[in-house]
Amino acid sequence: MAQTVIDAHNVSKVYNPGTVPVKALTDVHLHVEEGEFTALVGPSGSGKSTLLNIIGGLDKPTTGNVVVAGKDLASLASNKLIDFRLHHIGFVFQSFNLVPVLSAKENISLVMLMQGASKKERNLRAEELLFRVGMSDKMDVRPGELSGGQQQRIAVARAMASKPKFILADEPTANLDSKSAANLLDMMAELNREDKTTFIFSTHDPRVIEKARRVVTLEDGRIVGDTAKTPLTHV
Amino acid sequence: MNMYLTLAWRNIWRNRRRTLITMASVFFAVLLAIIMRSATKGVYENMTDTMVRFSSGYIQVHAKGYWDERIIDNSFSNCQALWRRIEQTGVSSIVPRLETFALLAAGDKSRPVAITGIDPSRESGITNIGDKIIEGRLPKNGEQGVVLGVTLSNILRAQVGDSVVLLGQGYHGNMAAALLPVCGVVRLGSPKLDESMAYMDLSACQNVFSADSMITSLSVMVSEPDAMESAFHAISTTVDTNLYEVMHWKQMLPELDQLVEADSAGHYITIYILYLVISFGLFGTMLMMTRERLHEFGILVAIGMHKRVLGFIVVIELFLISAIGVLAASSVGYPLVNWFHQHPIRVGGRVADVYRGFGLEAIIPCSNDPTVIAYQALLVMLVTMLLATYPFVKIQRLQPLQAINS
Ligand SMILES: Nc1ncnc2c1ncn2[C@@H]1O[C@H](COP(=O)(O)OP(=O)(O)OP(=O)(O)O)[C@@H](O)[C@H]1O
Ligand SMILES: [Mg+2]
Repeated sequence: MAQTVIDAHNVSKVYNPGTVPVKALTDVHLHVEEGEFTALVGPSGSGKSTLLNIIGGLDKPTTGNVVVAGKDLASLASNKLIDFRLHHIGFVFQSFNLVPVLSAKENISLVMLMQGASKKERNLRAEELLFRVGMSDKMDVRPGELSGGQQQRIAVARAMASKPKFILADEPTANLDSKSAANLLDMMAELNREDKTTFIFSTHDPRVIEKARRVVTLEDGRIVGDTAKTPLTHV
Repeated sequence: MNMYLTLAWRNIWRNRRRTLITMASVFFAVLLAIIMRSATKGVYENMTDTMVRFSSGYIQVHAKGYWDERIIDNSFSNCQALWRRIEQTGVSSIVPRLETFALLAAGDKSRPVAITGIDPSRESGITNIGDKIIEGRLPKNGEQGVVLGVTLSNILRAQVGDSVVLLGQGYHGNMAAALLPVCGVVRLGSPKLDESMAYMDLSACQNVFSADSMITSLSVMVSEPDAMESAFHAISTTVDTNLYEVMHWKQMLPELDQLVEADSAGHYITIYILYLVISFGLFGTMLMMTRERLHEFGILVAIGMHKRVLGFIVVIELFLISAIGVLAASSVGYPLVNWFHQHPIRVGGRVADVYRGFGLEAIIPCSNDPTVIAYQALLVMLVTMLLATYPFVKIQRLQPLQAINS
């Protein structure tokens, strides 16, 4: 039986409760297990980002609770929450993920430095990860000299560096051309197959949705569909 | 190098031009401040030292009431017990003087003159009066002879080897009259002093003025100007203040002290305005540096960087910018003030007249005291760190999501 990595219960989110309340999420239940490769889809404003942010501990639900890697996020005070994100959750944002003055390798190293890894460990793992995302030759290059697709690959490698329970990616392909988008997804899928890296990503792009093995559909802040496109392989 | 330091270092060069401009503003402000302060301090010290050595010494002990009525009748006995008490406070030297007035005459010329009886051997270490003798020599112990200021010597037309007549009032109404050979001519550097001063050996002077073993003052020298305050307090508590009055140079030469203070205050205001301007510059740079990186800050906190680490990086960045400016200013400033220390600037015109009025050479001898530089450097770094608390506090309140979406 695979380990549960995310367990969201009755999650609702209301923005601006004081003035003009916006119900971004209503009674959302989401259960994600280790090894999943799940897409969060839905029209603009349906609550995809809101849900990912809540799962990632970047935002708090108005009601309901979120248990990540066995920990109720509501129980974590701010610095503990930062540490929790550092050790258990990987993030890939839409764009400009990387520190521009650090090389690809240094960007990856930084996360491990924050975790307290030794220099040797950091170098070894950063190089290994760069190899895994096919960026070994760009090790010492700064983000500004990389294409959007290459930057996102580095961002994925960075997200993996901390050995998180899962990686959250909010529209990682939104700023990429379709070819780069497909490449990035193929790479992520490969990492998922080979390393059992758990990915939850949101997208609008039908060609990206195609690559997901589970598709959760949101509409007006509610989950309206949850389909496993290929049987989930449990380890 | 530590990765956080590397990060800070590279961050400051993200906008090379802005950083250089900010550093340059720190550089020029600190350099200017160093030059201004070193010059003021140099002038201040030169003034006080010259004035103090010649006129009063850093601290003087008189018979009570002497300072208000400076006559020979207000002198006191130069006794061993008093010396020992003062010596115990650890001052560097003590000089007895008997100061009074008399008329000097030679031929048909005469002139009222300040006569100072000195102990030549003790005096020379302090006023280095021996070095200022341009003709002849100081009188020997007990020798009846007089050393004239150079202008005075010219007015009286009395050269070394000639004799002058001294006429005046001695201790307790005694008549003081003597024929004194001129044994030396001294150039003190100040026109006022050079036309009004004459020196005698202390015991000869006591003799002429019928004031055996009497002196008007004990001048006390301290090893450095800053040691004056504590020595003053020590002496004040050790001597009997019913019999003696203890004064320091700021009391004896209040005009000098006021002049120096007023001068310094003006300079400080200029320097503070300068630093205020620099602070705005630094603050602006800092605001831009943090605001344009808000998205990046958000991402770093999202992926697990503690806000205090992030805040620390930003503080280091600001520190580096200031520190480089300050270091550059110090390393240019020190040789510069040191050069002006060795090659003092000559001043002319009205300023020179003011200087001469105080009996000073008309020069600006720059101080090369490194604490002046250290003080300016610390002040700017302190201001920088104060300014840096703003982004630090801001970062502690950062909401990663808002920052990422900014
Ligand atoms: N900070 C906020 N304050 C107020 N309302 C917000 C905020 N963030 C999101 N919303 C609202 O909540 C709803 C859900 O937004 P969300 O960003 O989660 O949607 P999304 O599915 O990610 O959309 P998109 O595909 O455009 O990214 C929208 O109506 C949005 O306007
Ligand atoms: Mg979104």
